[in-house]
Amino acid sequence: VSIKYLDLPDLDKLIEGLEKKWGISTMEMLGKSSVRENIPEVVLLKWETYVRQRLLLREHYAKLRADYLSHIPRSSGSGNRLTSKELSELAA
Amino acid sequence: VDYLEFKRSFESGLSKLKLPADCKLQEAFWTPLRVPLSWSVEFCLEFDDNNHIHIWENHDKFAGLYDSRRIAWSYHYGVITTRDADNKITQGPADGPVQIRIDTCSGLHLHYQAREPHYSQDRIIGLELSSVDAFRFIKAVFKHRSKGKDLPHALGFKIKQ
Repeated sequence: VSIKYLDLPDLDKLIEGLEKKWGISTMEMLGKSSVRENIPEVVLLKWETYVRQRLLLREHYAKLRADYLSHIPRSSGSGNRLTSKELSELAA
Repeated sequence: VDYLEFKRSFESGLSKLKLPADCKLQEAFWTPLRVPLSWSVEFCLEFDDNNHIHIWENHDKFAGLYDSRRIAWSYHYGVITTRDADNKITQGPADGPVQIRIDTCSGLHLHYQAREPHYSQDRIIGLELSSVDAFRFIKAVFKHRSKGKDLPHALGFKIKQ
């Protein structure tokens, strides 16, 4: 039995690989029945799955990040604020 | 059912399959997400007469629940058309030969002996397409091959004319 764990970069790569192989964008694959006819159905299913899984992971990581940030106490003082000099440097 | 539990149960089912003498099982390939919210499994069963069964299915874990659901699947039986340099079966063309396939591409449907037409559930009598899982499909093909039953009979369906 072989296993490959997929993360966001893997899914990006798989989706890009399919776009390259079939010469169409993911949007075209999803929406154009004329191009879908030339692609084996199981390939379409895998492609659609990668897109859905990418969304699942993005939502999961966004939620994780939001949860994490919600536990960091807000600073009430000016200690974390940038000075005007630092702001000018950042702008530059 | 989470990914590990599902995998254990699926592999146990695979190992219990009584393979005909002319059939070889190619290693199952699992692709779970790093965060196991979703996973897919794929494998082939190859017969000596150049036919094969190709199974692919994807499952999602229900958010917040200890359960999973089958989201997308393709169960295919037909002649092998393409192989890679290691002689492993690879995906054939869209219009490749098919004896029978049940898949969920653009909605659940069945193909029988040809790519067209796509038979959706309302054209099928005697079989709930969504009730067919990988093992039921494989066993029906085994029955078809060993007992000479036609595939509709082996799976228990008729097509509305």
